[in-house]
Amino acid sequence: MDKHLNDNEERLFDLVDQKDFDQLTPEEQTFVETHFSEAAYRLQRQLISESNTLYEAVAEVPPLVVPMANSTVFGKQIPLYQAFIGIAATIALFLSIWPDQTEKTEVQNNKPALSKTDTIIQTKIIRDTIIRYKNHRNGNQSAQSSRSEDDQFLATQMRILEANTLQLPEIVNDLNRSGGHSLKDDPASERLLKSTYQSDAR
Amino acid sequence: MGIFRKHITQLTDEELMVEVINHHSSSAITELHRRYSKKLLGYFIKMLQRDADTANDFVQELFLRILEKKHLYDPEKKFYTWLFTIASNMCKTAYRKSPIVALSTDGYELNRHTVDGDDLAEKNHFKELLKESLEHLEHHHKTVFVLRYMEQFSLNEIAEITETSLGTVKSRLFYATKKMTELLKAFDPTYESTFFKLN
Repeated sequence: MDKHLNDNEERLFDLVDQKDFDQLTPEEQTFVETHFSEAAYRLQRQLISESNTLYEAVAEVPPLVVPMANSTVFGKQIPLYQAFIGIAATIALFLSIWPDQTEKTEVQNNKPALSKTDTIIQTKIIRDTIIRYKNHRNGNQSAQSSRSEDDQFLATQMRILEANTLQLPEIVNDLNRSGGHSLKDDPASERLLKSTYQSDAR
Repeated sequence: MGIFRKHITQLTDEELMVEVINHHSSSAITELHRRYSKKLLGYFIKMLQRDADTANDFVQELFLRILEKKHLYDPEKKFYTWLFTIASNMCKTAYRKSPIVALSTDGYELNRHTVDGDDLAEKNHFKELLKESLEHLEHHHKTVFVLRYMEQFSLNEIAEITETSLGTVKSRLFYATKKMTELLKAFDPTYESTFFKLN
């Protein structure tokens, strides 16, 4: 290890480092000569100045070969092609689990509704008369008990109605098949209507 | 803002280094190589006493290290000194692996004659001896001497490159010069025994 310079050494170093002997002031020359000769000082300066031009221009430097850039994943470097594969796989996965719903719905909405049959037979019979029975019991009875009795009554009526509902003949299936012509000319529907009216009349 | 973008040759070293860090710009690193490769080549030849081919390998390796260690660069600091810090560390590692064998001091015996400053042969001889005396220095002395008097770095820059204090740099330079002068004393006919009586 080099020991640190004392004040005199540091001053001497600064002078040798910066000035030729001729550039020194008389006081500096006196200071230098108390430590070593003028010739010794000049030799040090020559050594320094010659060092500057000691090596001549060197040979040509070949061009730099820059390696291909690498990408970094979690602080670890991976080749560029692996990074591209990773990105492509991510996009493919995203598209597969996230199909575009909006566009599909719009297509469906724009599609015109096409009917395969020109006539649809409804299998439910709606009667044109509803009989309602009013409860004429004493008005002092509690409203809650009268309401439950009304409900029971209506339920009974509904069961009667359902029991009276006709079991439609199998001909309905034939009727629902596309005939390609109007109902009014269809003999099957005519037979159905007739049977319906006959059962009503009974 | 592309039209206001400076040409690559107009960017400072530090701006180029930012390009290298952010975009792994090959043109930026090539420009830095163009600016400093020759100087670095000279530095490696002086420090390692190797041929130009070996020194070229060191230059190439240095720029690859810059690409690898680019995240360690502080844009607030001068690129030039950072570059030479890496180069100096590379030389230190190479020296540890295979120390440069110092030439025999016997070579200086034949130089006991006076120097005629005008004599070109003598001057060339002085230069040869200077090169040899440089090789006799310890590695840390040689580093500061080369950086100061051959590469013209300031004392503060050398302190930064060698990661030491200013006082240490001055001390190393003082003793390096002292040792070299002792080896070259044959060129001083009036050499006095008081030359280095300070210590």
